[in-house]
Amino acid sequence: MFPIRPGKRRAWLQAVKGMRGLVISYAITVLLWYGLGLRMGPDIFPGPLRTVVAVGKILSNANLTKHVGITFGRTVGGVILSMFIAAVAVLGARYWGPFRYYFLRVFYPAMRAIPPVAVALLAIVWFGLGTGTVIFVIVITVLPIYMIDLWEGLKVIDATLVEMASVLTSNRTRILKKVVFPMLVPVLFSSTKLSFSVAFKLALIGELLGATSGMGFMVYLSQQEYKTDMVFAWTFLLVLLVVFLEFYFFDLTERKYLYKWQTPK
Amino acid sequence: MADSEMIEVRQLGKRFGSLQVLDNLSFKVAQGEFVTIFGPSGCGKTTLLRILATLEQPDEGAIVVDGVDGSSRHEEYKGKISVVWQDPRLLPWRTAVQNVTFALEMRHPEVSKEEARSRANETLKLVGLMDFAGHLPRQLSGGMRQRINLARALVLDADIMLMDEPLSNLNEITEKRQLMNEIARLWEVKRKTVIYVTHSVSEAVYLSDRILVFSDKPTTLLEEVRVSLSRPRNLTSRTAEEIGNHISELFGGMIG
Repeated sequence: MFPIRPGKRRAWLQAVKGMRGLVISYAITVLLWYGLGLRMGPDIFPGPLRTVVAVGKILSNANLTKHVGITFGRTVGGVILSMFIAAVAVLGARYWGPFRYYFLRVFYPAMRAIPPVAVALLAIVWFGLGTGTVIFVIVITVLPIYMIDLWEGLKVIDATLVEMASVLTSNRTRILKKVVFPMLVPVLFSSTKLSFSVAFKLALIGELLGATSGMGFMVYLSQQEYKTDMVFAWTFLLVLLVVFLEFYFFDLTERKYLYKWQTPK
Repeated sequence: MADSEMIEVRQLGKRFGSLQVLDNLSFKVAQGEFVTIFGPSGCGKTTLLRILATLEQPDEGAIVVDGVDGSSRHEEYKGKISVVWQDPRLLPWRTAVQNVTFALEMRHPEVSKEEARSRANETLKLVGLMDFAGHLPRQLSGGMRQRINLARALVLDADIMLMDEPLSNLNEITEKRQLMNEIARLWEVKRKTVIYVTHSVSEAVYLSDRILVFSDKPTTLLEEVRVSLSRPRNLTSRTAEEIGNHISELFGGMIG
């Protein structure tokens, strides 16, 4: 074994100390989970070990893993479609007067009020069991998140920059593309971050009610077969996916690319 | 309009609600002339510049630039002007050189990326910022940001440059002095028609061929002062001081 130099050891110890809070909070969660599992019994509330074994079963079986990919694909599709529809609607409302009233008084409030479960049931009638239903449920529910964020974002963008650009050209598309859109990127990013965690849950509901594939459908199947450990395992995988996206993918991307041009606070 | 005349402002009027900001304002600017619009703060100088830049519509009168009527607000009119803003208005996510190429991307999308970059680099060299081409605005001083603002206007090679108090946001006297020298030097190189707005007598005397002194609201033309001093100018010379004092006295010595 190579001897650890004092400087390296200090850095290593500091890294461990820095993660101490995280390790302690994870340990408390696992202990609580373990305690509940013992008290309620493995068939009602499977403990962490049983769940990890069930997760292993899923990950080692390609026929089961594909459902993770299906749910992920539907979620990404739903979020991207919502972003696109919201961008068109908000820009339309911002720059086309007659649509503004309809957008603010009818479209946006209606979208916000529609319950996702009712949408899922109707979508089954309209699209049948499958991807269309799941994506529809995601779009209807995620759309208001993008709409309100983009609408408010447009209000607070730096109007002096738009004015500067408007002296250079009268071409609105060019101004939107080169000035307005880059200013909206941070808004879009935070909406996307929030939308993903919401969309995964909605995908699960949509698949549970209106699909024959995906993680939601697998949760439904497992519940029908009284395999509580598998219900836990699918849910655990979904939580891992959301945590990974939020804390690793989005946070790292945000730190590395999004705010590099801003003055450090 | 005579051949040498670049801008003609005819009986211009502008109201904001019941407040008459500009009233029956008329003047002409010759091609290649450096004209300063001088007046106390809030007298409507910036409003006039915004009308010239097509950001506001006049209520009365017209502006004709090189034969093109400004009230029609056509791209042709816009193509003849560039603006140096009071605050630099740089895109914070773009580097210095990208902020300069931005002007070409917006006005002349037909210019290739390579050509835009090469023209932007040349202009940055002209304003002494070539070594900072890759820096983001937040990494530059106020004076440097203002030079990029100047470069962004210069790269367009438009006939007319409108400058709205470009030195007023600079804190350091040395930075102000440097940029003032830079503007004078660049004007001598490029010989563009410049309309420069300021409420500083020294800037007006140092830079201009002619100073249009405006009264307070409603803004009318109080006096035209011709500055026939050789360049580079010495603000401590007797004639420069006399011109400065004369302008200050028009406002009872309250401005300078």
